Amino acid sequence: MKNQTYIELTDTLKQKINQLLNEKVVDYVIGYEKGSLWFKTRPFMIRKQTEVEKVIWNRFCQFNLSTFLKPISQRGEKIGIVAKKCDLKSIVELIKNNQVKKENLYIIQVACDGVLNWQKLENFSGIPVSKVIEIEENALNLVIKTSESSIEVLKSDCLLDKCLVCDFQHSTYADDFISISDENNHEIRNQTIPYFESLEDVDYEGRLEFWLKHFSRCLRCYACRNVCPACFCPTCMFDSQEGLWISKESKTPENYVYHLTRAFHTATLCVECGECERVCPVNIPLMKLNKKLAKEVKDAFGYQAGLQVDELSPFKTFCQEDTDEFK
Amino acid sequence: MEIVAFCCQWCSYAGADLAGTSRLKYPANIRIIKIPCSSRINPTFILKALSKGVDGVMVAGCHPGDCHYSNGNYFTRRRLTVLKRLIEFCGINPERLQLYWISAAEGGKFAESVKDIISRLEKIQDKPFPKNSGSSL
Ligand code: SF4
Ligand code: SF4
Ligand code: SF4
Ligand code: FES
Repeated sequence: MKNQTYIELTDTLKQKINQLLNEKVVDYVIGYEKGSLWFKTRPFMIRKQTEVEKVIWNRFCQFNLSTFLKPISQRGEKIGIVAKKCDLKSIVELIKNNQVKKENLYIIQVACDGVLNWQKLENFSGIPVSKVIEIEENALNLVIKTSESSIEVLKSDCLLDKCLVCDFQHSTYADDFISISDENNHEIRNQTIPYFESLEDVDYEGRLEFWLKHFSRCLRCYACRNVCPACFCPTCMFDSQEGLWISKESKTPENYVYHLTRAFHTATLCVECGECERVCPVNIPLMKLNKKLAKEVKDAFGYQAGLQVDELSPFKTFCQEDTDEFK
Repeated sequence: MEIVAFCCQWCSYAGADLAGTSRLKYPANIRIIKIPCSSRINPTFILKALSKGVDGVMVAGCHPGDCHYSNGNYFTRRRLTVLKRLIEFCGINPERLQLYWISAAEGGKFAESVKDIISRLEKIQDKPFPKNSGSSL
């Protein structure tokens, strides 16, 4: 993948990580390395300076690495973490909810110009990604090259959904911001995309049918929960052996309860990072649920998750004057 | 018609008692579950009841300001506001979830509330969850 900006960003990032490890500012850094295929990346814990060479930063770094802070943050080590702007939101939520201490974190924000979705890339170019040997970029397009041909597709067609609605506020919580030029392509990324609106026109039975159809496919593999930075309970109620409130069987009504419960639990914590939907092996449109709930929380309490560490979540407080919708 | 009523032990449950000892008539469709405070309601209780095919769930607690634990019911009100919108989006008529404030002295209001939820449910057309389609648990 040829993109000068990303190559330069990677170099600066490597230098930064090297320096942090060298000066013992952090015990280790969570970043990205190359995955099993050319278009894949994977999370990478960098402990030694000899490992820094493997660090990458490119348009396929989709993971929200903050989710790794959930199990390890209690150990008291000082952790460096590579974060996109959107990942900062979930870090803010983790700090706010006492899952990690800010003083134990060193946040390296890296400029991000949108993450590519390889499935979309395949769909729009009609070329299986395994055949692709090179992708070049110009202002609005990606030039996808195979050994025989080359084809241009619109960048905006191939970005992750969340990147299309990314709203570009630079967080003040990062310790470092690695950028070269400011992110360009604002026009590509400041879109609005409908997540749940079409379902609002359907009657109740239609909506129930829609969700039951999707939830009937759910395997209860819990990948959505495990990847979610907002699901930080030490023992999830769906794993708990005491008080088995819902069956672990993957039956449709139980799955319905699972999903609505999880959506409710994460209602004031979800930062709309889209990881749950991305990892779901059976493509359940979980973001419809999350986006809708985020909108309702904003509507009812004027609250948005992930913005400020010192804000109180609406479920942890109340007003005597709250409107009573049950009158 | 089947309705599950979660009643706070300090007020609405006592209100239900009073309705009984005062021999007030109310529809016999409800199954009362005693809870320590309306804020003891875990949203999963409600979701589970609805997914088992009950027609409606009523939650009853002390009047705002009167909660035995000072402010549990204010939290309940916030949570159920969101839960109501969530079930509505996921295909359950929001009328199926009702929240009432009933004190221990309001036997009459308890009976009225049961009548109220029944009359609301009689008006709605869409079906609840199919009964007994899930696991036995
Ligand atoms: S529920 Fe999904 S979108 Fe929301 S924070 Fe969790 S993984 Fe991200
Ligand atoms: S689903 Fe609920 S109980 Fe389970 S980890 Fe997430 S927030 Fe915690
Ligand atoms: S990742 Fe998908 S299949 Fe697995 S539990 Fe979540 S919704 Fe179900
Ligand atoms: S004690 Fe009755 S609602 Fe809290």
